[in-house]
Amino acid sequence: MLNNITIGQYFPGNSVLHRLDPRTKIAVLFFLIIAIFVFDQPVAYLVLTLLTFGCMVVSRVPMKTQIGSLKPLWWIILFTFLIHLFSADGRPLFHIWILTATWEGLVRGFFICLRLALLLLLSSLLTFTTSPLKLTDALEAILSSLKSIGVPAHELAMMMTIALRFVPTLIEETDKIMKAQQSRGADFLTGSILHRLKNVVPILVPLFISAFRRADELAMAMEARCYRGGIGRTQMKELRFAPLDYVAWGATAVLMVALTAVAILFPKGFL
Amino acid sequence: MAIELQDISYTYMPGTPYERKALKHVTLSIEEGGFVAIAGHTGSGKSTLLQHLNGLLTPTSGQVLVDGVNLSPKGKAEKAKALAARRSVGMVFQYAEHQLFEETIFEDIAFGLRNFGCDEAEVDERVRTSMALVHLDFETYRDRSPFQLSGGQMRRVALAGVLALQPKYLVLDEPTAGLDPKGRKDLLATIGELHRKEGTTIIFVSHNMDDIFQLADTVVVMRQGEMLLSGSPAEVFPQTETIAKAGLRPPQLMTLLTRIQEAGVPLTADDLLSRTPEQAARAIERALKSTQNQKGRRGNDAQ
Ligand SMILES: Nc1ncnc2c1ncn2[C@@H]1O[C@H](COP(=O)(O)OP(=O)(O)OP(=O)(O)O)[C@@H](O)[C@H]1O
Ligand SMILES: [Mg+2]
Repeated sequence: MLNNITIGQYFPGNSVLHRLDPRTKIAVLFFLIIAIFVFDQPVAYLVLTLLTFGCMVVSRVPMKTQIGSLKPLWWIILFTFLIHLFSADGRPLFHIWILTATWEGLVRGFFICLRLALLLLLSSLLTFTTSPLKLTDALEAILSSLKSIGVPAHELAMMMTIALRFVPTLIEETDKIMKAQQSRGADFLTGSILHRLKNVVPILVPLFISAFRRADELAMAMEARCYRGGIGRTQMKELRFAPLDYVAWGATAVLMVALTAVAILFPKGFL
Repeated sequence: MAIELQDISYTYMPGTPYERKALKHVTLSIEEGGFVAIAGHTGSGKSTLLQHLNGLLTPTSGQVLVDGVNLSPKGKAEKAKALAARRSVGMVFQYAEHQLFEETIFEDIAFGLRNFGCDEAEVDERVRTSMALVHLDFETYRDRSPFQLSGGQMRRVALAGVLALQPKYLVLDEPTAGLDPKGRKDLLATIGELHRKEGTTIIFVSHNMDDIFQLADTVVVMRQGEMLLSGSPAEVFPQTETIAKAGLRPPQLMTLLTRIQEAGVPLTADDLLSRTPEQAARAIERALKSTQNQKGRRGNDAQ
């Protein structure tokens, strides 16, 4: 029933993207997102689109899954496209009722949607190729530069790790409780809304109890191992930049400079 | 009438990197009135197998028949029949006490009955009987919160909640896990009683070969999703090598008797399969006496 939820979206693998340092991946993603928003020459779109698809292929995550990550925002993308199609001024393309679609609207709508799609595809690429543990490690590393202004970097990262760690456990637990109650004749799938809501109680109560029990046990176990927060804590697997990371950093820098140069030299675009 | 698994396979999360074939072509028939134990190493697919018995999981291929009714039919007319068939199989999960949720023990046990549409008189009646079956005093416990009980008592309440549905087949997943020795013994006694007195067909998973040896009349040994062995304990347990391959060991009593036999006490093959310590003691006594008699006779002959 809950079997088909992929855990945390992570797809284990050994591609170049999997091997990159998570900090590099977050930073590169950050710059690429800026690039997608700032540069609106067709050539920039072309380069960024090719880059995105290149990464998608290199990651070796099944294409269907990657394209599938657009699904939740499908309607928003479509809606955005229609708004632009009908609201831009310019040469009329066709009329529906009181609305006029324009040629300029079509072009602008297309590019806006392309932007949204690239954004989504790139961000999901990060979660597809980075295990949650590495992701939080990287986040802690990035946040710890803000420690001096009082950001509790380690604590935030710890909370995130624990939350992520327990998502699959709780899904499993829910699945088990649902099955147990189903065996006692509970029916969660049919009947009126009210009936179904009432039937959630037999799942929620045991689930909460077990979540609290787990939290309790975890706290106890952490205390028993003298957990005292991040002070003086070292890591078994430290994040280290490898040559690959410097290549990625360098390539991103070159790309940003090139796109900026194009934007300054040919503000109207040349395609 | 029986539960029949016909060549069932089951794959968890197909089409993802987490894909896992948990059952591979299992064919098994469980006769009514049987006492079936399922054994196997952790991760061998025991729980997955159990969940097919009342339709919680639908096999990826193959089919499950309960009293001749397919549990996952296509047509609408057969769906109603399948539901009834599913309900004749009661399922007690591992750590069943974790499914309790009501304010009082009475209400928790009555949960299934209300779902099945029993009227109040019948609910009351059946809660009483099922509490008696698990040895919980009705008047003392009916209004108490299930969360004030000990773990073992909570498990009894959970068991009562399933027994109240009067299942023809009772499926239990590691019913004694995490109980103290006395709790374990009591629970097993309760299950044995159900089998004997009510004629309920019992199917249970256990890691304890001694329990299986004492109680079951059929043993099914699972290994990596496949059924390695099935048969009576007398057929299965002497195959020590195959059993070891499944990551299991023979019952301790049997190991002990085998050692005694190896040490020169002439125990017969039947003696080795003694189910209780008392039976074993009698067998050893008999064997020792017969050797003494022989020795005595030989002594007489020599003179
Ligand atoms: N919900 C699930 N999602 C994915 N894989 C699962 C799920 N449940 C079980 N599995 C996998 O299927 C295999 C069989 O699991 P199962 O729970 O049937 O084993 P088991 O014999 O009951 O083990 P145990 O003795 O530990 O209870 C295991 O390898 C397990 O990892
Ligand atoms: Mg199990």
